[in-house]
Amino acid sequence: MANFLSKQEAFNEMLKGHYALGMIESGSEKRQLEFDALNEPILWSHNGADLMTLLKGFRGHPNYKLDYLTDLTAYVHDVHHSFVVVYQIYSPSTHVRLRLKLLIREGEVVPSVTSLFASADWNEREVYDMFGIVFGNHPDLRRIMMDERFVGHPLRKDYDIKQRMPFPDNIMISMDRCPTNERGEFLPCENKESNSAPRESLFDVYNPSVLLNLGPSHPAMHGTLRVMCRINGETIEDAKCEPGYLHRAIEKLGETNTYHQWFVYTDRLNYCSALNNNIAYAMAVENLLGLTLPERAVWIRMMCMELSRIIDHLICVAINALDMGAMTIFWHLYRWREEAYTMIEGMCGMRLTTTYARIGGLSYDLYEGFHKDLAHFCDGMLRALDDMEVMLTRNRIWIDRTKGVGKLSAKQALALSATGPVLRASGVDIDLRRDRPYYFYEDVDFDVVIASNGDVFDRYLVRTEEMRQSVRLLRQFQARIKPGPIWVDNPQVRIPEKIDVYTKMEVLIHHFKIFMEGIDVPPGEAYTAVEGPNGELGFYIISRGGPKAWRLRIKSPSFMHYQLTEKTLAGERIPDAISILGSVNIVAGELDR
Amino acid sequence: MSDNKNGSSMVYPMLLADAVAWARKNSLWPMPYGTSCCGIELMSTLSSTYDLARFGAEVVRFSPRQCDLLLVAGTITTKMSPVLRTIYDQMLEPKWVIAMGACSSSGGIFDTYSVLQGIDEIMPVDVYVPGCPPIPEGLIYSILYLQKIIDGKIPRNNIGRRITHEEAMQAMSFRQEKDILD
Repeated sequence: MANFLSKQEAFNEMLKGHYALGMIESGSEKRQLEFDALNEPILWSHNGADLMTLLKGFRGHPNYKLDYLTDLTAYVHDVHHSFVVVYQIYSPSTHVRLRLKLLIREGEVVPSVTSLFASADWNEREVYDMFGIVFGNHPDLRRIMMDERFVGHPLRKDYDIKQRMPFPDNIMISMDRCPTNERGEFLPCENKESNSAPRESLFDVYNPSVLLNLGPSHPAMHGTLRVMCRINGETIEDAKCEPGYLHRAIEKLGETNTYHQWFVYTDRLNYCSALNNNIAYAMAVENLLGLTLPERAVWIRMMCMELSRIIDHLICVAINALDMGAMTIFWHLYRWREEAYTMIEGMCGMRLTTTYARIGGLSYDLYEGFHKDLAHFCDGMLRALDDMEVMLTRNRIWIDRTKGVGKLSAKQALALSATGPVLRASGVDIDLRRDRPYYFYEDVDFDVVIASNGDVFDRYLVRTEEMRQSVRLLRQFQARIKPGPIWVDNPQVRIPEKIDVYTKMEVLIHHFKIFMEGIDVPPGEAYTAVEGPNGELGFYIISRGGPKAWRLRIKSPSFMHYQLTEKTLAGERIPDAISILGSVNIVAGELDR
Repeated sequence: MSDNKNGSSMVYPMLLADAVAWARKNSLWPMPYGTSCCGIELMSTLSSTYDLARFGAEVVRFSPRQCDLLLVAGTITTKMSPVLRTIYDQMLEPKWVIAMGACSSSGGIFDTYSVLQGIDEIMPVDVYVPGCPPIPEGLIYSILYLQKIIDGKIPRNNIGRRITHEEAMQAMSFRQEKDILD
């Protein structure tokens, strides 16, 4: 840990030498520097042109090449009047983070950064959709989560959370660029399938541009994904993906619910690995509060994270194989997922939506006999993986269907902000567990798995090997875990024991206060990221004091991966598109939030 | 059925309608409309441990024209609801609907601007399965319950109450408190 902390420290010192400390006021001409709860730097730029200069400068910085856009989002600064656009950038070589901020008034146009970061495309569309901030020179500024016909911008503070709007039919996808008005603002696209392919020509078999709609309810599309392809024979010439069919306003709910109440929503982000989300979110709030967990709680949390990594990868590989017709793998691997479910049910009483972690601890300690079950699971899992490799890794059909399909070079992957197994399959050696370690990951042995080709086959291999590494980690955790407390010794956040609640008056009042009023989190902000099964899962929390967050942003890996799919689908065949979508493992709950 | 169980009676006097109902209830073809978390539990129910094939409902078809049971598993957003309604309209009679989980039954914990508050606002529902998500046993129980409805042992509660497209549109729109009072 010393390694990355010292690098971040050196980077902070360098910034301190250049910029004055403090927060920027609107209209100010000087850049200002701030530090957040985790001592990560925040740099305020004074206008849009200045922001572009800064981004370009840090991108090409000789020592710290901050050329990876982790996240782009916004929040309301002052109700009705001003917003702050946030650019979270990261250096893949030195692993330092920097957050750039831009304060704008309502109606002001922000320059689009898509020319610098290709992955900013969808993020800017989301900010436009949710806040109504217009990005100048954006290639295709449409709504992304909500319907085109939706009125209003839901994440603004004056938008009622229950204000629903009906739509008579499904949204049409335009394959072309949106029109602009004379002031350069983007107008909503008209409802037409395509400008260049008239309706009647679609029935012409020799027409080189036939539109094919996959989803949102399609046997090969997972959940609620929708892809509109322009195809020529079997080859996809152009593709447009449409997310938002499962947009459930989880970020807005974060602003109206207390920190504790919001735990249940983290389960429903990536429902294949709910434990991991619970813990990542708990960690984010604990970072804001400045809590340090007791050792046993940390080991249990790490165990949960690795267990959820295994079951997430299991379902990804199994479904990917199922989409290509290999049903046996699915039935065989699902049995081990059920074993894991049984253990999770023993831990917290629920199979899928766990809500296991709490701020400052865990809801329950491990049940009696957990270690025996876990040992059994680890042994069985390795055997199941061997079986799977016999069935897939040397299977001629599997190799033919996956090798060389959906190739993604390391450069492309970084430019499109891929994370996790997808990035590592392309040969980029980044794993937050090793590069920015949290909890006790620096004290245990594991290998970061990387491949070189970045195709569907390599992603499968990376996932398989990561499952083995997770089993290896689980065994180490099991050897090192000791009995002890699972709660921090802080009465402000600690949820009292139930037996005390029923027998002691003061404890009952305290319990009531924690749940009815919530925990008071000091003003500040923090971005906490963990290496989730799909990649970097981050929670960016802005607190202005009180029991509710001012802004709760989820940086989800699926969002970037879906965008990456859209941009790399051209040139592939239709059956390959299905295998590519399966291999990047897009979970709709996390994608649309 | 005959009371005589010694095998001498090989003729089962039965109404044709009963025979059809018996055949239908044991060969339900579900259309799984899994959008979110419940979809994963639906997969668990279909897969090796719970094995829905024991109740004759394992032939999953993704085309609405081949199905007689619409299994809505997961949150339905207002953006998705026209799609779901289209799928329901495309299914041939007789058809049944199971709303699996809290979200599709009532919107669940997502009382927000983008989530439909229960699919019964846009289509009739036969069985609601509580839970977030329901455990596979719960889903299996709902299939068994639906079999009783098909059999006629339990009356079907939504006969004569077909929700029209206009009503569906009305249900999705936002109503202020005062509108409801008026």
